[in-house]
Amino acid sequence: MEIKGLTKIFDNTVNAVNDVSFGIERGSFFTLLGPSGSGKSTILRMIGGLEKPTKGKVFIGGREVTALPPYERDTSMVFQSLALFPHLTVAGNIAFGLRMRKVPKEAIQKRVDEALDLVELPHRKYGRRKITQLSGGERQRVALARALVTEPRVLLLDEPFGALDLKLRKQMQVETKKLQARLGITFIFVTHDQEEALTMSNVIGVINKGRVEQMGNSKEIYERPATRFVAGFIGEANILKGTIDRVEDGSAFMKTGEVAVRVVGETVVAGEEIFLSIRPEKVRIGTDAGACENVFEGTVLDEVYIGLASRLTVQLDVGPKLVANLQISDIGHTVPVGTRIQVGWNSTNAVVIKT
Amino acid sequence: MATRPADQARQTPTQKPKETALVSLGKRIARATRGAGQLRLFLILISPTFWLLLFLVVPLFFVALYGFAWYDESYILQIWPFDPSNYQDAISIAPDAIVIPLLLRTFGMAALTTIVSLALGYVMAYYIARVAKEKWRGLLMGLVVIPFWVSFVVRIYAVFPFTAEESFVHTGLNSWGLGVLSDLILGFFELGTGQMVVFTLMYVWLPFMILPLFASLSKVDPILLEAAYDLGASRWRAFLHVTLPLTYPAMIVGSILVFITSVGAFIEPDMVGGGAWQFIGNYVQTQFSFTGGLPQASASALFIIVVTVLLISAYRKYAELEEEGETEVRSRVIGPLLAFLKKRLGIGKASEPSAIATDGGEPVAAPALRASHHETPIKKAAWERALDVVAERAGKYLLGAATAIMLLMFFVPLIIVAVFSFNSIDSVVTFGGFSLDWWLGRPDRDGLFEDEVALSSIFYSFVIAGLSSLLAVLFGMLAAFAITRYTFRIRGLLRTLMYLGLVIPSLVMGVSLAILIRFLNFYMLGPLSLGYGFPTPIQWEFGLASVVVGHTTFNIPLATLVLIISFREFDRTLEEAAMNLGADEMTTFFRVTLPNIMPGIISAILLGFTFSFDELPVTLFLAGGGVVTMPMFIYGLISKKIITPRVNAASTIVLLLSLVFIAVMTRMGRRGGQLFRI
Repeated sequence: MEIKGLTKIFDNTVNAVNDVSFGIERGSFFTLLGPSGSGKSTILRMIGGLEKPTKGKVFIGGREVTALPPYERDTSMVFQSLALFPHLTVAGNIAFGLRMRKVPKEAIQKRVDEALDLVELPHRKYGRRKITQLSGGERQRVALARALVTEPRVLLLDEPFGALDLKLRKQMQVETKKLQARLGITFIFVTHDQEEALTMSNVIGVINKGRVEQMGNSKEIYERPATRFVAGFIGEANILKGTIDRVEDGSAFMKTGEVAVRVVGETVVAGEEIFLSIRPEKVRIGTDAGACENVFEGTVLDEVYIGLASRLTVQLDVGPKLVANLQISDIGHTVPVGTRIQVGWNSTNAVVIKT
Repeated sequence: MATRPADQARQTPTQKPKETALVSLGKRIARATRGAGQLRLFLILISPTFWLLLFLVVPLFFVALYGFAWYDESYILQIWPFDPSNYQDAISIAPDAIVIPLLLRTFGMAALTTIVSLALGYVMAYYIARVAKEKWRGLLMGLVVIPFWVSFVVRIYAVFPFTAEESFVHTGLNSWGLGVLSDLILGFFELGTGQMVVFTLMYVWLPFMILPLFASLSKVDPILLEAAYDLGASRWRAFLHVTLPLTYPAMIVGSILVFITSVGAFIEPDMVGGGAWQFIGNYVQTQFSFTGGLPQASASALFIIVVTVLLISAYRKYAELEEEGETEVRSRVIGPLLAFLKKRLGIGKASEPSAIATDGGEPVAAPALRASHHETPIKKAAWERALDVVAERAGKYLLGAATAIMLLMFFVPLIIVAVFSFNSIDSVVTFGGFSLDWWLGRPDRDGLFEDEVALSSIFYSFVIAGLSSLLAVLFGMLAAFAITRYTFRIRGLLRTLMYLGLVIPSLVMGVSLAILIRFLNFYMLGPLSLGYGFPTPIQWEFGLASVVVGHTTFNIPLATLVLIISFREFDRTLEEAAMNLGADEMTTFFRVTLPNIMPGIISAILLGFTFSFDELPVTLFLAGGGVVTMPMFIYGLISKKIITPRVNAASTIVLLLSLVFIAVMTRMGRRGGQLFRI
């Protein structure tokens, strides 16, 4: 499945999607990740045929489908609001797509049952229920079963877990991922939840303002963000802006304000303006910091307890503020505000970003 | 918790509002019944329930009872011993039977009206709710509803110029070379024909169909349609399998309203059908109005009552489904009906065997879902694709054109009526020039404002509409308050009473109330007053009081349903906040609750006022000799064939007043929604 130069302009002014191209391997779990309004849902809807692209082409299985109406495409969508038909039972909802394809009655019955079993809703118990009698998680499964029962080439999921509570959400994530691995169908998943994207996907496309900022697997996206937006949107990051002062034997030095910071020097040249992204958990604190390449003294401005760690904001004596995570290995371990502290990081743990 | 804030309120030194007698009485009752919820509920419920039982339900039993009545030699009506002959006559299928043939015709015509209304109403509602631009929707619905506010007598009268060959409509069309169109119109709109009766009923009651359909269609989430497309449904299949089933409840609600109203119709067939197309209602009315016919009138009216009562529970069920935004998972009415039709006509069955045959080659029983085996994308039949393209490109214009034609049909005649009231010559079909003669009069011509009956009819109409709408809002408020705030055993009954009052044909309401009053006079008031030593028996004469009672009875359900919406939408935490700030219950009600539901109250009063102002059938049965309302005045002139531009002048007054009510209502009711929910 592939899209080429996809562009969507709403009402002649808003460029919701701007010249987006990418290909997705068959059987992979692809996630479009981006903030709300970034155009990721629009891309999904154009793939599904619910929105006509202003420009660009959509291919599914090597065949161009750009002009085809949704019902002639080999895609199924799980909608954000689920869009389950309130006038049909659970079984009626799942059977809908098959009925539209004029599958014979007996076969429909069988396949509906299979689909319900697949999403772990016993068909005896659930088939005759009304949609209004289901819990949020159950509705989710029905929506999934309804989309899967027609055995599409590509399954499109538009933030389907948005309405679930955290625990159920995690559970559905795991199950959906398992299901995808088992069925081998291409899933295109849209979400604004970076954690969800990181845990579920083979490939993530980060979308911002209608453009693809970066494509890659979870690890690449998190550890090698290509842009400031990606660094900030996926996880947290301290971003330092500066100019490369000099490059010598594989290392470079960046001047930010009056301070010189050692960075990895492979991709930079002297005089270049760059940004440096340092994840809070990569910043070392106290005695650990002493051994790092970049070490600074500072004062703790703020401490926020976040459960698995403490988030410290440290005002460096040399100017910038830095957020650092302090792993709480022993209960009661705190660093009160005002404490003088040493922080540091190694240049390999900081990412050079050019834009 | 309830006592504390009240105590504090009494202690606070801030200005104490002057209490009216009503408020202080209310406070005393509220205090006395504190903690006695049942007693309080009883006091709230007693008056509306009593009123509806006495004036709506009990009269129906009297209709059944008087079907057994007979006249003795001195022409006095006797009830006991029962005489079954009227019922025997009514159900007779002998060749000379009167009632059954009339009944069959009535049902047939009503069913036809319902089907035509459903088709046309669906087209209009669909266009307005789903195709028209959002900014036009309010206006278009307004245009649908406005004619509904004009008395149907006036609206039927307005169509007359189209039926007369010498009318300017036809001379005009002929002179423009549109003789064909003129012939078409004349051929269809011919007084005294069946299609004219069906058309008129549809024309007058179409809004009953459009209102629920519009509400229901606007609620259909477009995402559901996208889901259907995504699952392989073409546009028209998505409509058939998603939109249509989701609007079944509204279709049923609208159909029942139109059907029952048509079954009880008698003025419409009388005005346009001539003698040839009498309905059962005409028989009831003629029997009722001539001395000695009362038992026959009762016996045949019972048929209409039975139909109404049979349909009321279905109506209630679907109206409530619709109100709660729910849909039926399996329609118990339409589903089986469609299945039956399919079986009968052999539709759909033909394609199925072939589908099985083609699938026979493939492994039908795929063991489980596998990516390697999937449904190929659907290839639609050429005609289905073509239909889709047509629906996408031209559907908009086709539906829009149908809607526009219907709206023109609503308004053009009304404008013509108003214009012809200024005619200088004595004709309602050719315009001679402008003059105010028919309004102000001239020596050889009675103007409307010189006619004392006309002037007093305006006065009576205002008094009746004012009194009945105010009374109805009082009772309706109590009922709506109880229904929304309490759960109680007779809640279901009360709601059923409301729906009964809403859908019962005016004919039945009028006849039954008239019979009740007769019964009261003859068996209770008369003997009682004589027994207490009055020289002459005290009687409840037909007149202002009986008309007001009748109008109040049909206005209570309207007011209640509007106010239920207001009470539901009212945020009750406001009350809790007020009590928390030290207001007692009565103060809270008058200072917080009442101001917040005021738009609803005003809507209810205006709605009731208009309905009462336009009402004719109930009034006809209850007015007696002295009272004449505007619609009665107009109807009287028309049925006596005194059709001059004076009728137009009177109609124009009704028209203008209706427009004023709508203007006030949309301004004060703020939420246009309430206007459409009726």
